[in-house]
Order: sequence, then structure tokens, then C-alpha cells
Amino acid sequence: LDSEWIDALERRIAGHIVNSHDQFRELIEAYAIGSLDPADRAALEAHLAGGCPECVKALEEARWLVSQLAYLAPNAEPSDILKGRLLQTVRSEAAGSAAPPLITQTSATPSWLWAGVAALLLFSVYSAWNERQLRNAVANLQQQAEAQRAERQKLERQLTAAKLQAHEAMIWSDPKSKKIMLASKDPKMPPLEAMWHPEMGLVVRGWRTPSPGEKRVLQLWLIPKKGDGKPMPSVTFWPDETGKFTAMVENPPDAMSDTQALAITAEPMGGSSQPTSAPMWVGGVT
Amino acid sequence: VRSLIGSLPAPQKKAIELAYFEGLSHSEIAASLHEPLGTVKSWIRNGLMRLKEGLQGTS
Repeated sequence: LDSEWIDALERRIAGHIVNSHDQFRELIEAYAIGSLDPADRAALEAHLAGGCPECVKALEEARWLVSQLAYLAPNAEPSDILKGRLLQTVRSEAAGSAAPPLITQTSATPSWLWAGVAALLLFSVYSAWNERQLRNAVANLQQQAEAQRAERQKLERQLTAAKLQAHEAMIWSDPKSKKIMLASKDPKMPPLEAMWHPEMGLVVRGWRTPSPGEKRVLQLWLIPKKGDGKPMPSVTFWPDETGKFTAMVENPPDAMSDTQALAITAEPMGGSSQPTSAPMWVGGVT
Repeated sequence: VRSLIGSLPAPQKKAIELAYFEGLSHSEIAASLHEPLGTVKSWIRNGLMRLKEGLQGTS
């Protein structure tokens, strides 16, 4: 009788174990997704703490399954309920408070899931910060490139001006150059000077020269010896506020030996193909 | 994955979404949907099982 009673008891115990295990097994997925009520969760955690290998393995699989649900996230803002719970969790975990988190009374979401969400949020914040840093760096580089471009243009202008000055100085000092004085009929007008080198070109200079007027420029003309003596247009220029100017013609439209005289008139901006006013200065090339 | 959950019956899908995206417990989902607690538990478990089978079938 005792042996029968013991066998029956063992069967009952075994049946109870199987039933309990099956019950817990059915809770694994809900535990992983965080939807278990507190009582069920506590019971399952006690069972897992007992080291049930089948349930532990099932939990790993369930967690993988739940992780796949992240791909289902709709392109929408999380609800206010979720936001509130998330903020509560992050705050309580960040503060390291001894007080239990508020969510434990209402939510069965496991802390590892919240940790994942918090990590995702942190990553998002870091990404936004990183993007802003990169954008600032690109803007700084663009500013530097712009400054370097402006500096290079300034240097190129200075170099061109220096070359021009050197060229003018060579024309002015070379013994092969011929000096030409340009005089005005108006005795109040200061005379102008020109220096013509057979190979290097022609330079005209003036000091205290009056302005040709608003929207007008001075223009140099070459009067040829041969033909009908029709003036040949050359460079335009205008004096600075002190009346000083230097005009250079590297390739005059005619040779010095074929030119009878130089003349300067006041013309509209951009110059003219033939004089539109009487010469203000004239100088013979002899 | 999106198509798999789309193939679930509407109640299972709704229960899983409330659990996962809203963080609601079984009791809260049951109260929210006005359904028995056991029904909600079945929906979530069966829905997740179907998803698992579908994902394992595609991987």
C-alpha cells in the first residue's frame, strides 16, 4: 500500500512539474515583449532563477524575436503613454534612486528593453550632435577656402600691378624710348608726358589732370603719317582723385615710325572708334 | 518582417502592437480592448509564435 501511495504521489508531483513548466513556457514570449502582469512576471522570474534550461533557451529565442519587432516600428511619433514611461525609466535609472521606478506598478516592460530604447535615444542624440559638428566643420572649411581664394586673387592683382609697374619703368628708363610731350590749347591744363619704346610699347603719364566728367573717360589716339590721317583708337583711362594717371599700351595699333602724333580726347565710357570731341592734348611724334 | 505582421489576424496584431509599442501589460490590453485576459494572452502568444515561424522560415 505504501509503495502504491508513493508511486501515486510521484506521478502527481511529476504531473505538477510538467504542468507548471508548461505554464511557464507559455509565458516566455509575453515576458520577452514585456506584457506580463507583475504576478506572472514574478513567478516566471522565480522559475528562471531555478535554472530551467529549456525556459532559458526559449527566453533567448523570444528576445531575438522581440528584437525583430523593432523593424515594424511605424514612421510615427511614439504615444504619450510610451513617452511618459520612457522618460520615467530614464530618469529613475539615471538618478540611481533607491526608490522603485514608477513604472513597476503599471508596466511589465523588462529593464533590458528600456535600456535598449534608452541606448537608441542616446545614439540618436549623438548622431544629431555629430551631424551638427560636421556641418559646422564644412562651413568653416568653406569659409577658409573662400578667404584663401580672395587672398589669392588679391596677390594676383598685386603681381599684375607690379609687373605693369616694372614694364613701365623699363620703358621709361630704356634709352631706345622716345619722349613725347602732349600739350593742351588750354593754358590751365597741365601737359602730359608719353614715352614710346619701339618694342616694349607706349606709356602716357599725367599729374593734376582734371576729370573728364561723369561717365566719361580719356582716350588715346594715334594719328598716322600716311593715308587720310584718320585717328587710330587706343586705350582709355581716367585720372585718380589727385589727377594722376598712367596708361600703358603694350601693342600700339601702329608703329612709332608711321605715327605722326598722339592725341587725347574725352569720350563716353568704354571709348569710341573715332573721336567724338576735340583733342584736349596733342603731341607730335618726331 | 512588416509583411509577416501584416498577415496576422487583426486582434493578434493589435495586441502585439499594444504590448510592444505602447508597453501595456496583459491586463491593460484586456481592459483597453474590453476582452478577457486569457484571450489577450492567447492572441499575443499565438501571434508571436506565428511571427517566429515566419521569420525562421525566411532566414
